[in-house]
Amino acid sequence: MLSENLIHELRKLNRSDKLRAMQVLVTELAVEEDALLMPGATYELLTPYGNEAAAQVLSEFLEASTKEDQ
Amino acid sequence: MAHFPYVAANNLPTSLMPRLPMLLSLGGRSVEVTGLLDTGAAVSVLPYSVGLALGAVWEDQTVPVSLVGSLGQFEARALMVMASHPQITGEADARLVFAWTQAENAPMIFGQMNFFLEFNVCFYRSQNIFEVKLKSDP
Repeated sequence: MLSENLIHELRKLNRSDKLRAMQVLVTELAVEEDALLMPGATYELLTPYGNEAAAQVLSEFLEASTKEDQ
Repeated sequence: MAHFPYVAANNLPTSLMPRLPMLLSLGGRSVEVTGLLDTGAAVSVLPYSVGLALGAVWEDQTVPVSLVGSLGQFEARALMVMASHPQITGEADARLVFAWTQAENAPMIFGQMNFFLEFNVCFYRSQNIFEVKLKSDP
């Protein structure tokens, strides 16, 4: 049970400790709920989308390099 | 077929991703890297620092690669390196082409051109493992 006392203690934390407390709780919830999407969690999207033209350049570079080696 | 575990980037289980260790080589230099297997990425991305560690010289790379999206603000050039992993390639090397970006904090990404043309990959996310083999392996 979440007591008023605990809430009071949490409110006294500085910003970084509050964020750390949130991260700990989000991690716990993610584990308990089999890692479903969690509100407040940060999800990093690394994929550089839409680079088909760049891929074509690399393909032609690869083909030219292969021919040079033959 | 070599099996690898999904690897977390931090302590969040939601950060589990298929990250593959590989040895990249160029000339006489080699660098161990861990790259994200990213089927949504049209190209493989090589961070600037990794290219430098391999001894690549930016000015010597003559093929510009225009990236869009998160890396679009940085210049990139084509760079060919050899890649190996004892469980996947054995003694052999695979020739991989990268968009070598000047972005300092770019992620190491193995994308469609040409990682997924050289290697066959199966993802088993529910079991937190993925499999990789050379395209020429049975």
